[in-house]
Amino acid sequence: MIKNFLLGASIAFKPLSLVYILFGVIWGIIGGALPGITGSIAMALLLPLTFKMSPAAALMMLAGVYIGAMYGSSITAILIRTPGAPASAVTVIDGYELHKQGKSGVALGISLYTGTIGGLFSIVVLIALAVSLANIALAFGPPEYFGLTVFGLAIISSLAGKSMIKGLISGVAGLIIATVGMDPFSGIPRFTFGSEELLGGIDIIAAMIGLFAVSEVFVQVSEKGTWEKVSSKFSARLPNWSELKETKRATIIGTILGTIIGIMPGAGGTIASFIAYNEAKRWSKQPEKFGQGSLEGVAAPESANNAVTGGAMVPLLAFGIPGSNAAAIMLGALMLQGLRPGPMLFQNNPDIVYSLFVGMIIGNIFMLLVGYLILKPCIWIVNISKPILMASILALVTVGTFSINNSLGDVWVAYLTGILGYLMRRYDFSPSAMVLAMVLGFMVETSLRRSLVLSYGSFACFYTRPIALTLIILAVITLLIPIVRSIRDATKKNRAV
Amino acid sequence: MNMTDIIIAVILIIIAFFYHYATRNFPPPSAIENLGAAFFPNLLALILVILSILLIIESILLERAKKAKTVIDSGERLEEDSFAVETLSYPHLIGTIVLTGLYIILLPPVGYLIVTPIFLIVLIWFLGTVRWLTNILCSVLLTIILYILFHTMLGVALPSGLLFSR
Repeated sequence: MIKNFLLGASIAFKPLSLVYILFGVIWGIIGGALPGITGSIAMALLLPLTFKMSPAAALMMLAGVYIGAMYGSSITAILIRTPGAPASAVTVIDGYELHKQGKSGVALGISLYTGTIGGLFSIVVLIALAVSLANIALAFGPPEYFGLTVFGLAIISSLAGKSMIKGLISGVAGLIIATVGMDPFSGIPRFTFGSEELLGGIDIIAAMIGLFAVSEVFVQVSEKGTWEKVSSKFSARLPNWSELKETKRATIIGTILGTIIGIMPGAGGTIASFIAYNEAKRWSKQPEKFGQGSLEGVAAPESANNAVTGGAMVPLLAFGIPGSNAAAIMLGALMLQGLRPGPMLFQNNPDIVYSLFVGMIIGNIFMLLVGYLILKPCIWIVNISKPILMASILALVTVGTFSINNSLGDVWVAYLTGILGYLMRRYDFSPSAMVLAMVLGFMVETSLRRSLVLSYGSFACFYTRPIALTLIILAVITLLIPIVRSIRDATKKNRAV
Repeated sequence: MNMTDIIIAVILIIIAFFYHYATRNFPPPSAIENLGAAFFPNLLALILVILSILLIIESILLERAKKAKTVIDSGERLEEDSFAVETLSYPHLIGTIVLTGLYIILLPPVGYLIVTPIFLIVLIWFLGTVRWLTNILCSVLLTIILYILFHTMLGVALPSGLLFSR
């Protein structure tokens, strides 16, 4: 393990890698600060650039974007009361209050420092958990993988929408899209309608860019009004030591909760920051200050959403299963390089995994170093008018998706999935669940069919193997809980009447 | 809102049937691989139909609940899927979609270097009040930056158009 770390460090500390990570962090902070542009959109926009890079560099850069965006989104949350991403929505409450009280620099500094603490802690947990879980996962056969993917999909889809049914429909639709292309077993073309281009399936990278980035552009242009301008004049005083110490309790709560919630599939920075805020308020010595410009009210959500970054990588690296949009994009970057994450990646390419670990640590340190320096240019970019920004994204997306396979077909995929994603969001379906299902679709089907090949066609392999059985039962429970709960609520109401 | 859900559910059921129909010519399962190419798609089609029917039932029940003035807890949502429907500008939305579609269609015959700045200038003008000078400067600059990044540095053969093709 130490040998692997040295190997990873030797890659991550290469000058070129450092440049990529720094670029990723800066891009992430800017993207995060822009209202509407979330970390995963900022990552998706960079995806096409990664295919000429080494897999390790690509992953480190994308992780840098992810880390930076979590801090970036708090900048606009604090300064203009508009969270750059939903993960900082709750930071608005106390962050903007502090800004009004003339403590903008203090709030931004707290966000930056506690975010770094959260991020670094979560990476330690990530390393410990991913390495040991991957060792367990080495023993997994196709039935276990089937159970794991179905369980993952069940959680993601049931958390995804306003209505669980719509979340599940989004997931099934993603699985259906994933079946287009050559059948992995018999080699016959499925649902290609004679098209050669569809033989390789619908390009997942293009679909991700469409569902995340293009649909967001359509949402932004359809919303009337423009963003509030950020004044670049604000009090720049950073928090002092006693102010920082005041947030200790909230930071610890946020960091731990963020890491745990990050590991769970389907729950990301938004849920983590909300829960962390509530818990920090409950355990705080001065709960009455929450909402009145409490430093803890900034520290808890901001340490939590940064702590999510490490946690979210656990299921991706250990099992090859992405639990969040950002993890799905990391998986997309690996697939562009012809690699799949999971226990085999630890075995065959330890350099990639361990350089990602080291790269994430470097990314957090870069964020701490540049996080304050970049404020001015960042505000300048946020003040760029919305039309210019939206048009730029469309041009970048077009050129980027074209460059994946030098094909206009992928551009059309991004464009059409962008429209689809817009409609899905309009009618409360979940593009995120769809993307994750598309990514997992191949694994669900092949693990199911391979299991049955290995067991000579007997379904017994799913209930005689304890781990596979447990996972499938967990999936069923995940799907049943909301139904049971709604029935119970309904009967309660009836009784009350 | 309620009606749209039912319409969506019906469309999904129709899609599921077409999807199932498209599997009719798939080869039957082989001796070693007993599920075959059609099993998983058909399973998905079945699940989609069941879920669509549940969606119809849910929207009918929700409508009744609304009439009874009970608030149904909607539960948590996965991040980034939230959406404000209050202030919608359909002209801007449809205009952007049409302009982007035209841009992609015109890209191969006209060429990246000509059609991209035109697309950007028109779209920025269409979307809001940006000064012409800023607009043109930004559009041209962005076209050049993307060209250098993708064409020169990454070696992507961006469409050069009929005018410049040899």
